[in-house]
Amino acid sequence: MRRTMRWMMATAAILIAGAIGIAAPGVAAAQPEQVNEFVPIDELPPEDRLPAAPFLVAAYSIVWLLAFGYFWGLSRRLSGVEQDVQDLRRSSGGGDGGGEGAG
Amino acid sequence: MQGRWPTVWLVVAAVMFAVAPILIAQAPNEATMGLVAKIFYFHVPAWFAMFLAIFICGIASGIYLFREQASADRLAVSAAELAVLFGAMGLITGPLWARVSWGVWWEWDVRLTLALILEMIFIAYLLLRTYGGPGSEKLAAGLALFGVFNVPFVYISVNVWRTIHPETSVVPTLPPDMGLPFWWCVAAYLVLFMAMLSARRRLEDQRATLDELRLAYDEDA
Repeated sequence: MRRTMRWMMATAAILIAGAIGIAAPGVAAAQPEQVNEFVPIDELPPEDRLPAAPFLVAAYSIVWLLAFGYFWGLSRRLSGVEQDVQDLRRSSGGGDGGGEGAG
Repeated sequence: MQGRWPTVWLVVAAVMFAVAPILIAQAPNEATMGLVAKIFYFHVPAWFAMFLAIFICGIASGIYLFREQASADRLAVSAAELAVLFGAMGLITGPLWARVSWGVWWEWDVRLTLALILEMIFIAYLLLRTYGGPGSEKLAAGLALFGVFNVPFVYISVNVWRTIHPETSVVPTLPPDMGLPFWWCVAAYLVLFMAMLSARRRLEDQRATLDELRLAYDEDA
């Protein structure tokens, strides 16, 4: 649990630090001049347009990575605890007990 | 049967997520934002799943606070972890979309800032549960209730304050060829959420079993 928390804290710290970094005055000064009205993306000059596909692929990939990463971490934690339950049941003479939950 | 539920939910979610890209590819591009607006199909459902996780966490925390049911506390901590996970999905996919359509990664407007605060509340909940020591369960439950009451503010913020973020009227007015992939993705996310919640809940149950066994073992020794 604590190791998972350290990972989550590190991720959160990176996210927050990134957000603060973007908000920092030095970074804000380097940003282009503020636009006071909405400009549709297809009306922007070509040099201001970003290719959409890499961002789309990145967004979908990150969602998949987070989901798979979470399941992988969860299955490791679950198998570790279930192993401990079985070991304790064995050592206290209660057999393997089947590993069913308490709830 | 309790042990099989995560697998059943996971298989259904995997099938739904495999079909989702086909439906998304067939959907038309949004008129002004173009291709990048298709992040919408993964971005908005992540917030739906986060809000569901927060409501479950809040209700379970309320039950734990007022009725002291340990099983409700186990459900609350499981849901809180998923709230952080799905919130992270929303907070990462949103800036990727914003960079192309708004020209910036992040804007400190009301919706985005409130969403970040909501994420930080549930990170604080998990930190409290991990490092808070004995009694932190009740403090965390109070924090979860505070987090739940923030959800309506996040949701209506785009309608009440002037913000760069689209209003809540976008989803109800989606045309059918965009609505089908969107609601499909919402369903896929919610099934994935159920798979994760049932597996995470099982972990908490096993931890409770382990604690009981250790206590009994120590008393016997």
